[in-house]
Amino acid sequence: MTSVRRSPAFVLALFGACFATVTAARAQPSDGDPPAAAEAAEAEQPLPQIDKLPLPSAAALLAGPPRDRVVLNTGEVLIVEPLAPRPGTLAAIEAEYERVRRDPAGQGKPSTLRKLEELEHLVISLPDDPVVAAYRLRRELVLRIEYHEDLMLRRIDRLLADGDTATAFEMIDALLRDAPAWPGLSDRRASHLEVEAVAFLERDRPFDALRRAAEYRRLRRDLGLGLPRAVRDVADAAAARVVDAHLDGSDAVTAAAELRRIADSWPDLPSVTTRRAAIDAIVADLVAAAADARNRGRLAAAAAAIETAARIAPRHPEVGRPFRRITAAYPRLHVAVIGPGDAVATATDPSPRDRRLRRLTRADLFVPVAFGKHAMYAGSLLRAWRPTDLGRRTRLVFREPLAREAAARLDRLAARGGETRFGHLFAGSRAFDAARLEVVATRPLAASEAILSAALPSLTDGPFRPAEDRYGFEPRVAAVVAACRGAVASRRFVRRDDASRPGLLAEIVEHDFPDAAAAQRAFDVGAVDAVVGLPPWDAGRHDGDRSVRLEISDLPDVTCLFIDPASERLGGIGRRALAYAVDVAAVIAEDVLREDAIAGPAADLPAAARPTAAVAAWATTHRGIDPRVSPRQTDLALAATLRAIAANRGEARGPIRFSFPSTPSTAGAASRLTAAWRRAGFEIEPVGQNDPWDVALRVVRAPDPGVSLAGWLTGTDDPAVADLLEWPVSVREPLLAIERATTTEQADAELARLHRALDAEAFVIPLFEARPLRLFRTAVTTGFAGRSDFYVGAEDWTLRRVLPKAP
Amino acid sequence: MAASRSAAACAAICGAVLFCGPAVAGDADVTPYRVAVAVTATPELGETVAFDAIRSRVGDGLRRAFAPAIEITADVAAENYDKRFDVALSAVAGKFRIAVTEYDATFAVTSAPVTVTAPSARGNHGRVITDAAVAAAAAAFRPVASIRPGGERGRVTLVPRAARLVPTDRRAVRLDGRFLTAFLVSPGRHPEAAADVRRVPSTYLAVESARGGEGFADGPVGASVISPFRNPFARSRGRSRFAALAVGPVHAETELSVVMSGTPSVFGPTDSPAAGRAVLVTPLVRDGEEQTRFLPRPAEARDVILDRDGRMTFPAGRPVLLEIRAAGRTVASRPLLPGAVATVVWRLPDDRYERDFRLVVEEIESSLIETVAARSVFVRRGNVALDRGDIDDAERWAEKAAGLPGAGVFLRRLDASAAANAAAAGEAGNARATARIERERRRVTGTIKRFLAGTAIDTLRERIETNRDLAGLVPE
Repeated sequence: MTSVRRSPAFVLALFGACFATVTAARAQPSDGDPPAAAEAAEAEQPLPQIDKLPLPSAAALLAGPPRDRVVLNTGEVLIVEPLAPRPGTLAAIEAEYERVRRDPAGQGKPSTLRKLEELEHLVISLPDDPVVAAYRLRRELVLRIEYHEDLMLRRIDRLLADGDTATAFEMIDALLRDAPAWPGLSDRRASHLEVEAVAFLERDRPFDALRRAAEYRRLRRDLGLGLPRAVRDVADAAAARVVDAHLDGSDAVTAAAELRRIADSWPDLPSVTTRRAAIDAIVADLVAAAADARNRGRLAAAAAAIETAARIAPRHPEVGRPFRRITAAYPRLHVAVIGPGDAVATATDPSPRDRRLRRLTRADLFVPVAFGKHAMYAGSLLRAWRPTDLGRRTRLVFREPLAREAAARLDRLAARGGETRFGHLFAGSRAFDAARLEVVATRPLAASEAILSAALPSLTDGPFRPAEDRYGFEPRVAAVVAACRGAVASRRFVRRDDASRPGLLAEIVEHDFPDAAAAQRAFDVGAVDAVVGLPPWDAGRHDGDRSVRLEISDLPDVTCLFIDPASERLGGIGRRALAYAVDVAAVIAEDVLREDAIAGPAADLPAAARPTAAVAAWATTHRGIDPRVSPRQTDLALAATLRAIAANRGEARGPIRFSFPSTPSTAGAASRLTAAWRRAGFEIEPVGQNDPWDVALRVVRAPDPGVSLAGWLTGTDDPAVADLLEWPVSVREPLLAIERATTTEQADAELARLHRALDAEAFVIPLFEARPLRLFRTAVTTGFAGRSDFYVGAEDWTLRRVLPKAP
Repeated sequence: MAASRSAAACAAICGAVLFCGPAVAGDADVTPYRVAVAVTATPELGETVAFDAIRSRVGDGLRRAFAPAIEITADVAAENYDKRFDVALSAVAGKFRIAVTEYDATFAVTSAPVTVTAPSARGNHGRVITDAAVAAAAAAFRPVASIRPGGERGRVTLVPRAARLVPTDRRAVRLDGRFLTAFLVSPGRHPEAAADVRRVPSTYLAVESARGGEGFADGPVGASVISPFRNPFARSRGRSRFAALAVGPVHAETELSVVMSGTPSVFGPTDSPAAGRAVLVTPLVRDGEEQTRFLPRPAEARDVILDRDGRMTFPAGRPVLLEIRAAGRTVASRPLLPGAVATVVWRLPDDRYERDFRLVVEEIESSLIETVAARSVFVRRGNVALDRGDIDDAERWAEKAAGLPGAGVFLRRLDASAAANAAAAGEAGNARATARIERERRRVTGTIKRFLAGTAIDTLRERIETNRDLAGLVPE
């Protein structure tokens, strides 16, 4: 006889009908058995009554070990290890008992009698009983079994009644994982979804309510049941709120998109029908406004209205025809611009936005059209130009009467003499008539196009001028048109002259997007026709798409660190220490080609567009690169050693002020650099782009670094020699020598000398260069291919607009 | 002001022509200045009846104001005068404008113009214009003095001309507190030959104190010498003599133009502007207990930079010391009195060879620290690898340390640059530059050998070999 040390076993013994069967780990009575008094105390502890036993808590049911309850005829309860088979354990044993009893082959056999005797009992295991693994309990003593799963369902019912849908969902989820076919679980799932849908609606989260209602309906359908009216009402109210939320803000485009999505699942909801009618009314208003504006000759307004209508309902039968007619007469190009809207332009770092708009709204004398080892230029304002007198004189023939204005400006520059660069380079000019000009330089200019363009900026206005978003619509239509632009900021630029050729761009609308992914989404649904400034690592997925043209700029954007030569906190050794701490490979791999920024696989990037390590602040392909210069290899220990030497020499005083732009890739790189420099022992203080800095992360791009470099280094457009005072002779002399160069070869040789000097003293630490991409729909026809700058020749672009897709 | 055709009708103002040579009374020169006055006017003004009267009255006014220190000569064309006042009259916006310049015949220099305006007074033009012209001439007048050779360094004694000839208006010939520029006057071989007059470059004299009342010097006066030369007036120059001419009226600014001479080109040695060269500007102020000598005040020194034409403009003001440094040495250090003259041209020997060599030296010196630090880090890593028994890793670091530029690389680069630049300087005849390049080369060679002659890599290699041997002896 097994010694019984626990009250349930003692109770079993009391019944006298139980035979303890040791099936495993048979334990013998030992000298260490508890005293008889303790046994008696335990034996007196009664079994709990079922009506007094509380329902376990959700936490206990979820986290604790599963326990079944065996309810005896007396109302007492035995808590046991999970029984098997389950559910219907007693019924299964009874069925087996009947099968064995009626089996004619086994009639009267001892083995049959033993089997039947066994089947008259329920085998149970008591939790935490190390002695007896199993007991046999006569079945006629058992009233019913409450399984662990049943207890969970009862707890779920209580939770749903209390409105605790989150905990209920956890328990349902656990049951779905462990016992998905448990009787009653589907009902609880449905109840949960219903309760949650109502709760979400009450919490003003109609979209979630709608989603729960849809799941509820699907579940009921699987069960072969219909949808209760209450749930349908919940879905209807939720759908109405989802659509109305956008309609109230006049955002009919999003409202229509949401309505389409809802109608796919709930086509018969009354709210869907009414809201569809409301949106149709808005579309009708827009179409009417477009027709009215067109009749009055206000094509910009007509285009804005009909484009909005097309965005709301591209398949609306009354939209397609007027859309094609109006957009053919007044093509508007929608361009997505990526990057923070607050990008700061400085002389050393003109923001990409400013560079683009300069091309659009201001006309330079020459524009770079291609870049290889040098930039190639086109005279955007000129009919002809040719140098004479060994290049010291250049004769320009303008398309417009700009000669006198140009001459006056050049003479003003020349009057400043050697004080400034242009004053030193130009001796004067002579305007023969309104269109013909002779420019006299003090020497043959090695980069005359770049210098003349820099000396004569904004000689006339560009092909487009900024415009305001005012169309003169009635308020309701105006609100819908304004809201159609979405959350992004947008600006319009309209042609200065009337388009003489059909299809010529009449207007360009720039939309600012916070990141490449948002711009890509807008591009995919046809909200924009082009994306500019697209980082190469964000454009991989468009490879092979024939409806899209991907252009890679000839001219790379170079990201590098500029170090202030006059900084009192960084000397020559400190600068070198900074350079040794920079891990360019890690910056490219983890900050530039970061996973979350890649819309497509990084491996699919066009080879030409892959970012590469830079060797200078200008393009690696430029002739003014000294091939012997190779950037310092990352070595944090060496950086720390040099930092310590700098500190000993009194070079490093106070925190290093670090300025960087806030675009995702530059901010990521800046964060990595800051961490590396701190590991090397530097104290780094991040500062704004307009604050004084010791080190600045900048993205620069210049077709002619010989012309731009002095501006980058001094922070001025037309640097005077005095601005170079802070720079050592090794930098100052090549900078001045580049100005004096009379041939491209001389200028390149001086630029290479400057490259050596800037690298040797670590005034510029190059990081990486990347050629930005532009995405175009093939509906946009541009003039040049492989241009170095966006918007070059935009006045000659044509656009055949197609209806946008429904988002 | 445009000179008119009536310039031909310039008035030769009457006066006795006196030339008696220097009259000496004791230690003072009492020779009066012989002065001619030429008056011109614009055509409109010259044709007025009133102008004839004006022309005749200006000379009288000058004589009254400056006598007896000056004597007005009659004939401008005869050129037997010491100084000449050129008085130009014009009418601007209802007023007379009188511009007076003083021309010193001895030194052949013309002063900056002194311009005054006088209101147009109907019926009394003569007096108004005469008074204005006399005032302008007094401002334009630049006294002359002889410089006595000898004296202590930094100081000199001036013997003013016309001393003791007290003029009616003493301010006209005042010396007290004025700056003078120095000249060396050498007489011609024959009495008729013109004297050779040369300015003592960048040298100024500052009169300490004149004891004649109202700044008038009635006898010899002491002056501080501001000069790049140690003691330019220390000794007598035979028949030549030093003289000084007062500065003033000042020009609004002085343009300094620095030219490097002997720049090689395909056409032979030429001049080139010293574009972008930094100049250290230090104010010169009287210092010391006696407040006699002008000394630089480094606390107020500032760096400026020559423009792309090698020029720099200084507004008129107190004297400054300009220092041009290049290739680690002072190329030129000269005082300048801004406003004393309109333009100053400094012609310096082209130091491009030294500068080119210096750039290489600076690059080597800056790379040296980097290389030494890198070598130290690599060797340390090699030793750490050996300490933990990783001989291969130690070998790798030793290889890396050995791969850094060694002393030989730096020395070859240094020697190549030194040889090329010294040879080019020698060909250009600049032997001093050659010597300086050689001296600098020796210094930098010593530095390179001192920093890169360490045996740390050899020691590491020896440790590696020893560890390899020991590893081979370990029993299996």
